[in-house]
Amino acid sequence: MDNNVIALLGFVGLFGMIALRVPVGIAMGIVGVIGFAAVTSLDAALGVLATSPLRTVTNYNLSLIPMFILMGVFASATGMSRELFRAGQAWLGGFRGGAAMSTMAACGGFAAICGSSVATAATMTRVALPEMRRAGYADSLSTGLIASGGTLGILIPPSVVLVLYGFLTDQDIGKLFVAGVIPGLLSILLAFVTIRVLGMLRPDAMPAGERSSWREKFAALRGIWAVMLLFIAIVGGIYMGVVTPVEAAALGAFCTFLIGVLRRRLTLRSTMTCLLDALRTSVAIFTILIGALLFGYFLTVTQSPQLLTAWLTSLPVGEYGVLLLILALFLVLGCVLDPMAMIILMVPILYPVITSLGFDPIWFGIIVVVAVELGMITPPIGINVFVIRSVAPDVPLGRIFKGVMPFVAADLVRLALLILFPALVLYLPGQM
Amino acid sequence: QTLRFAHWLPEQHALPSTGFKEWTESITEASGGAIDFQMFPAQQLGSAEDHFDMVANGIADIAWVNPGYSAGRFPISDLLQLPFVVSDTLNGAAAATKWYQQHADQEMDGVVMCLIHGHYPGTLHAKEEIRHPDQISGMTIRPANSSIANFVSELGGASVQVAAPETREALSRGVADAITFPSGSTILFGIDEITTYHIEFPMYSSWQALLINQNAYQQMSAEQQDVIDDHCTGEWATRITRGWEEMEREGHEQFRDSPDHTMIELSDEEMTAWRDAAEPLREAWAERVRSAGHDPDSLRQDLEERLSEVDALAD
Amino acid sequence: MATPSMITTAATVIERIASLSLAVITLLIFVASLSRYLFATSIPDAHAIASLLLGIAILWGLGSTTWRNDHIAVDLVWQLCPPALRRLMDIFAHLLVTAFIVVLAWVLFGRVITILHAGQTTSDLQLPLWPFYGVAWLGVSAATLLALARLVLLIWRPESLPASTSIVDDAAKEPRDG
Ligand code: NA
Ligand code: NA
Repeated sequence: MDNNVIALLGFVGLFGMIALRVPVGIAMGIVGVIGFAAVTSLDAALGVLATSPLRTVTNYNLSLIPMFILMGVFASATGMSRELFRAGQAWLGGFRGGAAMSTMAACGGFAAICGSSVATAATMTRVALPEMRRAGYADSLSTGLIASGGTLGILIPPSVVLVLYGFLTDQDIGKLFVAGVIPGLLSILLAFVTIRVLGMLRPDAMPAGERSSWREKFAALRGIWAVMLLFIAIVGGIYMGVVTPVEAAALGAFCTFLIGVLRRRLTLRSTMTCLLDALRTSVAIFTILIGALLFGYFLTVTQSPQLLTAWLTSLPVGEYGVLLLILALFLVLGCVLDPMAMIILMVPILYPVITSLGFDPIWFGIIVVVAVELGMITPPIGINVFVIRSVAPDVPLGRIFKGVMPFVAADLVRLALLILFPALVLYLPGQM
Repeated sequence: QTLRFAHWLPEQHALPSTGFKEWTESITEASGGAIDFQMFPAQQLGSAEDHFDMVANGIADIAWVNPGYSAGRFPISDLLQLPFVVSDTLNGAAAATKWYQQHADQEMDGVVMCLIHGHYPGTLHAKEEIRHPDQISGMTIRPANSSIANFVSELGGASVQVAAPETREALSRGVADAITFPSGSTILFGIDEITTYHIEFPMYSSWQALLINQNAYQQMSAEQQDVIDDHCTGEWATRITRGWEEMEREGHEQFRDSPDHTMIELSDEEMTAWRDAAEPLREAWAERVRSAGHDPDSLRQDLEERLSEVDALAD
Repeated sequence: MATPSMITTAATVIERIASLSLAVITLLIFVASLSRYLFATSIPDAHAIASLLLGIAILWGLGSTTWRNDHIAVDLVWQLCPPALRRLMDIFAHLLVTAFIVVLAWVLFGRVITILHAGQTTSDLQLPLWPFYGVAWLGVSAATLLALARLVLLIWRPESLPASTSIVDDAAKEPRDG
């Protein structure tokens, strides 16, 4: 059989299995092994299964993933998300839409110490949703805002998705992290603008809160010293080159733990729970990673990705035409696929196209993350929306999706800005 | 017959674009087109550390393998990876290939050992002047391979593991003070902008073997096997590495000529100090080889004789 | 016969050991970077041991994830199906999961034997690698047993299993992924 036909059948089988609710990682692994056997031999395919998964789970650089997840879990258990929100309230609460802006700012702050978007969304829902309700905000706005703000978790460093992108494309993870800072701030800014516009359209949905005195403002800032210290230690440490990204992850997780213990928020028991949480999340990610690598070796040995690259780069639409095509694919897949699965599956296939068109690999990493962020909040499968729904079961899914739409629009604007002005992404890593 | 050829260098690297190309094209031509190749560069078929198992299990038919990546597994070949063994790696490749062809089947199963070659010797590149091995104590070095890492800890320094593309950063920010690397690659990764002191002394070379899957070889016709055999010789080991060798040597000469760089000429005493400092590594090697059931003295003597014949022995 | 709750307890114990391994990795890397920074000495084999422990942590976590059906899956179609069809899909999907893990455990066993015979070691301390891989393999074989147990119960006593979770419940329980 022709190798391209085998590759095509592989994709059909994969999506079929995923539709039948076979776990994404396992489906990729099965198709990968069977496909590899079809192209080479069963012995060779079993050889891949014997070496590749073991190599993946013992990859030193991937230890970043559980450690950054652990750090986020510790931070959440230590109550840092609540302090961030309080500080936001003290400074922004007096304005119209103040609680909404505080929530957004707190999402950004928590993203600076948490590598995962889902964790950011979950913890901020617990902290900010009750407060916004008490202040009289409509549920659709509050939940939509948190769903969108939560996606900052993978854009503002540290970021599990950027670690995976760096691993899959052999790019410097430190540079990728630093590149996410300005787009992350831009994202908060655009969300503020969105909130102001919504406030002008429906002033009654967005009451102003109480103003805080300067004394209260500075008192609230004292509450977030830990977050600032951690962010400076990690991202600053990487930026200055004092620590490697892996060391930064260990440092971050350990110091967050230490702060939690000193504040008497982490006991032996809750520490064990945190470790278990981080492990479960990591196992889920590594399972997909194992499967994706097996699937990737199968595709490589059919040599069809090379054909795809040649075909895409020869399309008469110019390099930005191809880029838009790829982004459209990401956005469509993002609607139905798990974000992590999507990035692990698609980046290795599309990355060679992007580099052969002359786009910057670091820049593309950020663009991919922004596209993935969109996928996390768009229907019908928007993982952040589901998280909020399950933390706050009384809010119907439809209402959250409705509330998220203005922020989807803001995300699209941001994507356009980053494509038009690559310097927004590349300036900081260029200074390293 | 199409053979899958796996390696872990980027496609544009000097070795695949000269040596591998020449070797594969020559085989295709000599076999009248009966044997051709599908190249899988840049770890496309598996991680660099797994390339031996990949070729032994038939995932690839041919693989370019660094035996030093699997510590303890190929103790005999480790002799080549030690510092201060081969001075002329071009002629040394021919001698080493003839040497290792005699011994490879004692430690490699399921493969035909075609040839083994190093690269133009790498040396120590540092941000400050280093002349004596004692200076390494208290420093952080990014080692080229595990033998050098052992050497560094033997000298009282620390090793830091950084991927090659991130090395420049690590050095410029002080995570590492020096690096062992071949000179041309230093320039390739922009490391030369930071490390301007280089020791003019062949320190080490990383050796890699070209291996062929045993079944793939046995399934070939006698004529095809002859073609392969003609390409698994000491002469081909030299030929395959020539393009890469030149690229690294040019880098070294560039440092020698550049006013921005300092090439450190060691005195005889200093050279002896370096060699003596590496002696414990040789003893440790002998111990490992002995416990694997081989005779280190005859292995070493055999290699040294072959290297001396082509004037490639470091001494 | 082991009851489902006893199996859950066993799965959790395995998982707790795995999560302790995670703590050790973090501590090891933290101390190693500190010692490099402050004293310019590296902890021998810290790099290798951290990597091997990561493998043990992840592979020991596999069993519990499988037992609780906690893998990331897309249940778009599943949500639209009637209960009978859902049940068929659940069995089919878990059959594939079990098959994959059984084959994985089988080939990994061969791999551990290969590493044992090859005498592979860590590079600094020359510690043999096979015990690390052997321990990691134990995690996969535990996962095999748990997957088989789930398969049997899924077919004959589905009501006794920990409730089948959807992507929604999953995310609520513990924050995961990007
Ligand atoms: Na983050
Ligand atoms: Na979506």
